[in-house]
Amino acid sequence: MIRRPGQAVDEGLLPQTTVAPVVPGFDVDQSVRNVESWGGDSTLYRHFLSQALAADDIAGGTDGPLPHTVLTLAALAAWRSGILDLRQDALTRLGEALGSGSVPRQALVSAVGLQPSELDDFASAQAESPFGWPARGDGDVVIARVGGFRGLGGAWTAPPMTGEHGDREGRFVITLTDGERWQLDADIFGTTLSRLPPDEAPTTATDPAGRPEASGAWPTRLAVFDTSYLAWLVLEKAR
Amino acid sequence: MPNRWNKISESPTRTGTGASHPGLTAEDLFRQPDRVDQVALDEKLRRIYFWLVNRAVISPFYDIEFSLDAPVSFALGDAGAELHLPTDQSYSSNVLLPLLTTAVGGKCLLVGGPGRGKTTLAVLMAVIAGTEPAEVRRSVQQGQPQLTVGDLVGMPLPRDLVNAASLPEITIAWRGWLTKPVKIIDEYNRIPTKTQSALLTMVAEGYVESYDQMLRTAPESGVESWFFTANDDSGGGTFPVIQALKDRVDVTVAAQGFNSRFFDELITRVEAGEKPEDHVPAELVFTPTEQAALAAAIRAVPVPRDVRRQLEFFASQFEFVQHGGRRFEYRTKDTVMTSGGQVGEVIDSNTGADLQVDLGAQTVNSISARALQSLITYAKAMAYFRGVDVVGLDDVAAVLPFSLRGKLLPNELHPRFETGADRELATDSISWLGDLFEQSRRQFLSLGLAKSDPVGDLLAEFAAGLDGVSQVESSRRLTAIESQIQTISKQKKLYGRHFDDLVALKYLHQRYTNYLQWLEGRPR
Repeated sequence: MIRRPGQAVDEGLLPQTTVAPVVPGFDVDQSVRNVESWGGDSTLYRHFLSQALAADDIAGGTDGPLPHTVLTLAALAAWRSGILDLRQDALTRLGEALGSGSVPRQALVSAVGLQPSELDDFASAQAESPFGWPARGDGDVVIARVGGFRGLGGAWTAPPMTGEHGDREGRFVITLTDGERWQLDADIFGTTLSRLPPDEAPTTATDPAGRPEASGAWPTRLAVFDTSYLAWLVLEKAR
Repeated sequence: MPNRWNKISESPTRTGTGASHPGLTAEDLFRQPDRVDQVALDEKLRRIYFWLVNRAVISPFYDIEFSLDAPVSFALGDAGAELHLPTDQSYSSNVLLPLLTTAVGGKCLLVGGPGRGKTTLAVLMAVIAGTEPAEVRRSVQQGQPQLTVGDLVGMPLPRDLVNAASLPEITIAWRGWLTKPVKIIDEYNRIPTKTQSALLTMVAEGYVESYDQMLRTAPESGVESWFFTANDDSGGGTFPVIQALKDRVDVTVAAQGFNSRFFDELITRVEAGEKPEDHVPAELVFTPTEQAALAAAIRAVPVPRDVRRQLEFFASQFEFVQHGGRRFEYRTKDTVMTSGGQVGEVIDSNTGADLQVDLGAQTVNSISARALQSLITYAKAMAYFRGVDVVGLDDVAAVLPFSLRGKLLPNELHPRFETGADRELATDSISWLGDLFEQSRRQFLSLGLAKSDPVGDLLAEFAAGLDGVSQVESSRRLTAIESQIQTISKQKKLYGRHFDDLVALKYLHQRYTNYLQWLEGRPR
């Protein structure tokens, strides 16, 4: 079997929804297009937003979702679909919704694909690290596979040679065997890869442990293998 | 009303892998992407380009290739043909170069057989620059053997001709096309020589003169571009084009033939009776303010030192010819040409240099400073168009063949053009010029000039100024210059790159000698 790039949290998911939900006052089709243009998975977005709005409909009992509910659920669903740049806004909205109870818990849970009992742990784990996750195992856990051979739809034409921590948590600098360097930004739901200009020196971690601050509870490393075009983002045991 | 002409790119036309959008919020999710009137000028330029190639002109030719890594190539046929599939956004020269001409206010020559869309492209550029389509069509100057200067620029009012006591009292009824932002001269090689000279003043100096009256041709934006069309650029036509006018052309682009796989679009146009210039979306038209800002932004794109150095190296190859004269400074192709000699024969008589290595031997002339200025301008425009911050060697390589076509001329006596696989380069000047620059880049690297540039170091040392430079230091620098000349003189074979270095070293030697004499002569 050929391994493809992807997030571990998405494995085994079978999104059913193919059409965007209709929400009065919101152009959901436009949001789907934006999710695609920002690099998110529009199928996952439609899936999680539909599930969340359905849960809100059951729990809410009003004529329709309130605007702030739609925005909160859309931000969470879009982040869940892989858009890293929405993480901050989504977490802020999640914190407010949990604090005020303004959005049904079941809807919030559905928007990020969690179990109801995991929501509070998820919020507190994410406050610690972009890789915080409630159902954490004991050993090393693969969070994501990135890169891949371009001929098979990946990003690279040479295998990765090294993967170093970047200048902030969730950022890595990857050097390929052909000398190209790429920057990886990652969180639990998504990754973005961008090619670094050849003459630009990447900013890598400089502390003795080679890791940026705040990763102690959720340490990560990037594993590369001679035999693979993929780089594996691994969550290690807490120190 | 929406129609098939109105579709323009909604998404950014050039995004990198994993483009970042910091600070996104949930509200942004439901927002329309930026419209054209809100986007940056480089994005607007790209949207115009994609509208042109996808809607207006049928041009599926992607001959300006950019690749992030080695492109996939296929060998085709048994005559060495190759098809490359580039891995980065690549472009159609016959649309992009005219568009960049409009952006920088340049001069573009479109060559190709009749019916290939040369005039249509030029008319589209004029519409994009803000002139109404009907007005543009009226403003196109048709080259013909009876075209007089008066036909071209306008006539003195008959009333004034009768009543005026002196030339300043004569009012000229100037032609309206003279002050349009885009000026189009169709079939310029059919214009009589005298009228070509009047045209040259307009093209070169930006004004027109008649009966002692003068009119500035610059439009409101200050950015004016010229488009010339010709059925060939090898001297054909009713009248030969004067060299000075030819030399003013910044880029020469061949209009490509029609690709028969796009026949449906042609039928649709015939059935609808439509002309693309009548359907340019309003969002794609530049205002005068935008044109001025666009030209300024392009000029501001920096050319980094390593790119400048490679361009210097390339340009230095072509002036020198070993037996062109006796004194060192006169050993140039220009000396031979201005004396009526044959440069090819002079090159051939030089048995000292390796013709395969000597890039200068491939040409019968050198690159003028004006041509280099055009090249730099268009390289900046290419970098700006591609959304990169500084000019790269790939930007230079992309525009160089079009910029030097018709200006850097092949030496047909060179063995490269006589036999073998490269013989076809004698007639394909775009491929030859591209290859010439590629050869120069390889030589630059193999000579280690990227790491070591002693002549450049000496020039930089001098450029830092002479304030406080002592007699001892001046003498040391003079010795260093002589030592550098000695190093070059030890090489038995002399090439164009040495010529420019030696002339520069002599210049430095003179400047230090004069300075040293001044130091020694001043009262203590």
